[in-house]
Amino acid sequence: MRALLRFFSLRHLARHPMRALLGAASVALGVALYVAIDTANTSIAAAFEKSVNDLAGKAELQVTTSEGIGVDEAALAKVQAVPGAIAAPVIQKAITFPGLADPQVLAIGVDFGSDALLRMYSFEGKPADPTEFIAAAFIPNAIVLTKRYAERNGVAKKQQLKAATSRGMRTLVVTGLMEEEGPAKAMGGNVAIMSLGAAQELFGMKGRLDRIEVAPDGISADELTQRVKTALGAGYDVRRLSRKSTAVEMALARLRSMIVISAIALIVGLFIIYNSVSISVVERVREIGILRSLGAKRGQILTTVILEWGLIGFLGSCAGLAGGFLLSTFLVPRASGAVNMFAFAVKVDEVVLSWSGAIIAVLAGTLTSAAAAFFPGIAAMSVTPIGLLRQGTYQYRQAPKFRAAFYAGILLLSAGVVTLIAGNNRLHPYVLLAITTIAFFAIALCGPQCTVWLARATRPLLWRVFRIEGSLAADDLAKFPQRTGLTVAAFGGAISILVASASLVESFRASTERWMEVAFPFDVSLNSSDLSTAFYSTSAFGEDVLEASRKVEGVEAAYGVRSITIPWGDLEIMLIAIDMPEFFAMHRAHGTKGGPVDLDRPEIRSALASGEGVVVSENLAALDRISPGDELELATPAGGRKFKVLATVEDYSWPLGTVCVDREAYKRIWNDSTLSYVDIRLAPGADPQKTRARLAGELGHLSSIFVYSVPQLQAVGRGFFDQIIALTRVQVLLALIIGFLGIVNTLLISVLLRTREIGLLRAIGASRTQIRRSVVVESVIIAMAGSALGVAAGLAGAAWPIRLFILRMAGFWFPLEVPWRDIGLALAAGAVLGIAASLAPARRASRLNVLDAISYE
Amino acid sequence: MIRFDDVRKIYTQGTREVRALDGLTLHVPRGEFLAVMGPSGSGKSTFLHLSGGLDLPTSGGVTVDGQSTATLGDDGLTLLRRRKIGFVFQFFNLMPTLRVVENIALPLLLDGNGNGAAVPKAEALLERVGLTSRRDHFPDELSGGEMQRVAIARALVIDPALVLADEPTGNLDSATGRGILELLKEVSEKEGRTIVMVTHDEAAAKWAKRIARLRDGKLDA
Ligand SMILES: Nc1ncnc2c1ncn2[C@@H]1O[C@H](COP(=O)(O)OP(=O)(O)OP(=O)(O)O)[C@@H](O)[C@H]1O
Ligand SMILES: [Mg+2]
Repeated sequence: MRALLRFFSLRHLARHPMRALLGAASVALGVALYVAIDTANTSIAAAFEKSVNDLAGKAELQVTTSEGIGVDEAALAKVQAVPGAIAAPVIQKAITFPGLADPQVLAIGVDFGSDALLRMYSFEGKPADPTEFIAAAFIPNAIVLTKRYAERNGVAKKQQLKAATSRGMRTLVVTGLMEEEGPAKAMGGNVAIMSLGAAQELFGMKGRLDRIEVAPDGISADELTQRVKTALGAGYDVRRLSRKSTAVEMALARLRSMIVISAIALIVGLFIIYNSVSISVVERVREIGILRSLGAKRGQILTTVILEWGLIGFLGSCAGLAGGFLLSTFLVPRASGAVNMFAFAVKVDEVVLSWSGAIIAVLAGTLTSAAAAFFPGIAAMSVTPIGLLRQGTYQYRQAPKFRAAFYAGILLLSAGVVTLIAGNNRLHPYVLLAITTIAFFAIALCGPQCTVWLARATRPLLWRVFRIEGSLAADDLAKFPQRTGLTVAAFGGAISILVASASLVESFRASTERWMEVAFPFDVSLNSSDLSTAFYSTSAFGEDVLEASRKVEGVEAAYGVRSITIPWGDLEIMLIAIDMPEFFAMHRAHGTKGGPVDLDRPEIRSALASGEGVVVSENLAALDRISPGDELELATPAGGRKFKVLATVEDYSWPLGTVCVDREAYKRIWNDSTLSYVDIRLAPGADPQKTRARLAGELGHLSSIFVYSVPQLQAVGRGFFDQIIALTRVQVLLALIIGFLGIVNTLLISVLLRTREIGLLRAIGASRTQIRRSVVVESVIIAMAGSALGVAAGLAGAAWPIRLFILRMAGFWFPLEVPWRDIGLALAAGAVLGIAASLAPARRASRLNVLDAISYE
Repeated sequence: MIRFDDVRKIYTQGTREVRALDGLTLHVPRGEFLAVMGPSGSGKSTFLHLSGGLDLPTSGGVTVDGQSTATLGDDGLTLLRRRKIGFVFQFFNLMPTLRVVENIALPLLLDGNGNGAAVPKAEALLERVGLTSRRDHFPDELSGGEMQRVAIARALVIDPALVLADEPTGNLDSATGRGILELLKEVSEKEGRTIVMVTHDEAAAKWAKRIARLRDGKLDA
C-alpha cells in the first residue's frame, strides 16, 4: 500500500501539480467561505451575548413602557418598594468620540447606590472609601472609562473629550478609570460610566429612564414578575430581560444566507476533482493495468486513489481554514457596523474561530474530495483498459443519453417552479435553499444536450468570425458535452450570484430611493437626535417645537411625527404616528405621485383619525402575511389592542416593518404627545439656508434640535446601505473566483486530452497563435454561455426564491429591478474571465511538443 | 530538396544518451521517391521529423528546400510545413472531430483560405483517392486503409513540394497497401514531388526510385 502511494499516486501528482492545485484551491474556497461565515456568526453572537450578560449582571427582569419612550422615575421607587426586588435604573446610549481611533462607546448612566447591588464595579487604585471616590468621579459632565479603552485610545485621566451624542456635541471629562469588571466588560470595554443625573442631562431625559432592571432577592423570578406587575399596574411592560436584538438577529440572518455560496463552491470543487480524477485514471490506465497484473487488488488501487485525493482535499481544507479565518476578520467589522447603525449592540474585540464549524468544514472538504475521487475510481477499477481509453474518444453520438438527462433536468426544474408556486411564499427558508440547489443541479443535467446544441448553433458563426480556429473550438466544446456543460453551469452559477445580488441590491436601492422620494415631501426636518450617531433614538421634544416652528419666517407648513419601537413577538417593529391631515396636505402641495397619496381617501383618513385603523408597511405585510381588512394586535399602555389594517404602503424605515397611525389617535391611546421629528415645507421663495439657520436659532431654547435637509437625510440612508453592499461584494468576488477556477480546470484537461490532436495540427501547419486562439475562443464561449445562463438564472433566482428567502430570513421585501448596468458588467466580466482563464491552458497548448502527438508508444 | 550534413540527434535521459542520428549525411534531390529502411530504433522516424522541421538537430545542418531548419524559428517552420510539406503518419493522422472532407481541407483552412477555395480542392482529392462516398463521415467510421488514403489526400491538398510518409502501409493488407504505393509513385512521377517514405517492408520499398538504409543513426553503406 505504501509503495503504491509512493510510486503510483505521489509521482503522478508531482508530475501534474496544477491539477492537484486547482482541486485543492476550489475546496479551499468553499471551506474558507464557510469558516469565515461561521466564525463571523459565532463571534458576533458570542460578543453580543457576553455584552448582554455583562450589562445585566444579576438582573432578570426589565420594566419598560409600551410607549417605547422609557420609564418615568416614579416607577423606580414603586419597584424598589416591592419586597424581594432589587431594582436599578438604566440609561444606556451610544456616544462617539470623533477624535479617537475606536470612537463608538456605550454610555451607561448609573445610580450607584442601587446599581451596585445588581452589578459589580471596580475602580482603579481601589480607594479606601469607594463612595468618596465615586462622589468625586461623578461631577456633572464626568465619565469613567475602562483602563483598556483609555490605553487603546491614548486617553489620560482628566482629559477632556468631545463627544457626539444623540443630543449633539458635548465636552466630557475623564475623571477616572476602572478595572474591567461587571458591565465594564461589555462591548469589549467600550463603556463609559456616568452618574444617572449627568446621563439624563446629556440625553435630554429629565425624569426618565430607558428601563428599570430588577433582580429577585430570595423569591422566584415568576413571583417577582407578579409582584412588580401588581405594584406598577397597567401601562408598564414587565418581562424577562430581553436577550435578543432585532438588529443583531437580522445581521446574523444576512450572514447565514451567504452559506449558500460556500455550498456551491464545494459543489464546483467536487466537480473539478471529479474531472481531475477521471482524467488521471484515463491517463494511468496502462499503469493501473500493469499494477493489477503485478498483483495489486482492485480495492488497493481504489483506496490509493481515494487516499490521494482525500489528502489533497484535506490540505486544501486546511488552507481554506486559515483563509476563512482571515476573511472573517474582514466580515466581522462590516456586519457589526451594520448592526451598530441601528443600535450600539455589538463590539467584537476578538474574532474567535468556531472550532465546531472548522471541523465540519475540514471534514466536508476532505470528504467531498474523497467522494469525488470515488466514482471515477470505481469506474477505473471495473472497466477494461480498452473501454477506458475509448472514453476519451468522440462522444458526439451519445445524444440519446444527453437528451434523457435534458428532459430529466427540465422536469426537475418545473417541479421546483411548481413547488414555489404551490408553496405561495409560505415555504421555509431551507426549503427555498433546497429548491435553489435543485435548480442548479437541474441546469447541470440539461448541460450536455444544450452544449451539443450550442456547439452546433455557434459553429457557423465561429467559422465566419474566427475561421478554422473557431470551428475547432466549437468541435472541442461538443467533444465532451458533459464536461463543457458542467463548466458552463458552474460559471453560470457564479455569474447568477453576481446578477442576483446586483439585482437585489439594485431593487433595494431603487425601492429605498423611490420611498425616499415620496416619504420626503418636505424641505427640512427637525430631529430630536443626531442621525450621524444612531439611526434610531428614543429621544423626543415637546409639541411646543411644532407650534413654534410654524411661526418661523419662511415656513409654510409643518407636521409632527413620533416614531417608537414596540414589541412584536420576540423582536420589535416600528410604530410611526403622523399628523395625518397636515401630512396629506403637504403631499398634495408637493405633488407626490403614488405612495402615501393613495391613502388620501376619506374612509381611510377617518378610520386613522378614530384610531380604529392602521396602515402597515409592505414588508411587514409580506413577512406576517397580513392583508388589508385583517386585524392586528399591538401593545399599548392599556394592554393589547386590536386595529384594522386599512392598507399597505411601501416603507423601509425599519427592517422588520412599520405600522402607521394617526398622531391624534396615538396621543389618546399611547398617552404620549412628544415628537421625534417635525417635517417642514418652506414657503415659496424662502431661502433654505437662512430658514434653516432661523429654525435652529429660534427653536434651540426649547430643546436640542438637529436640522436636516432632504439630501442630508438621503445620505444617511445610503450610508447604511453601503455597509450591506460590502458583504454582498465578498460573495460575488468569491463566486467569480470559483467559476474562474472551474474554467481553468476544464480547459487544462481539454488541452491535455487533445495533446495528440494539437500535435497533429501543429505538424500540418497550425501556428502557435492559431492553437492559442482556438483555446481562447473555446474559453470565451464557455464563459459567455455561462454568463447568459447566469444572467437568466440570476434574474429568475432574484425574482423568486432568493427574494423570498431574504424576506423570510431578514425581512426585506421589495419589487424587483433589472440591474442593466450590472448585467452588462457581468457579461463583460464573463468575457474577461473567459480570456483570463484560457491564458495558462492556451500557453500550455501552444508550447506542446509537436512530436508528442505522433511519436506513438 | 533535403540535405543532411553530418547530422546528430542526441536524446539525453538523465545520464544516459541515445544517439538517434549519429552523423548522418544524405541528399534527397528534388522529385525523388526515396524509401528509408532499417531496423527498429535506427533513426528512421527521427530523420523524417528533422526533415519536416518538427524537431531540430543537436548538431550538423538540415536544409529543406534550400532553407536551413535551424534558422527558421517556430513561425518559419510552421509556414514551411503548412505550404511545402505534406505529412502522412503511421497511426494518428486525422482530427476525430472533423468530417473527412474537412480533414482534407484542414491545411488550406489553416492557411487562411475560405471554404469556397478549400472544399472543391479537397473534393477533387477525395475523388482521386476514391473516397467520394465517405465525404461526410467522421474518421472513426473509416477503416485503417481509408484513413491512410484520407491522410494522403490531406498531405497532397496543398500541392506540396515534399511528402513525408512514416510507414504509410504499416498495418494494412498488401492489396490496400499497393493502392497507396501506386498513388505515391504517381504523385512522384507525374507531378514531380519529392517523396520520402519510411517502411519496414522490402516489397513496399521496391516502389521507390532509391532506398536508403539506416543503422545506428548512420547510413548503412
Ligand atoms: N523523444 C525521445 N527521447 C528519447 N529517445 C528517443 C526519443 N525519440 C526517439 N528516441 C530514441 O531514438 C532512437 C531512434 O528512434 P526512431 O524513432 O527514429 O527509430 P525508428 O527507426 O523510427 O524505429 P521504429 O522502426 O521502431 O519506428 C531510438 O532508440 C529511440 O529510443
Ligand atoms: Mg519510427
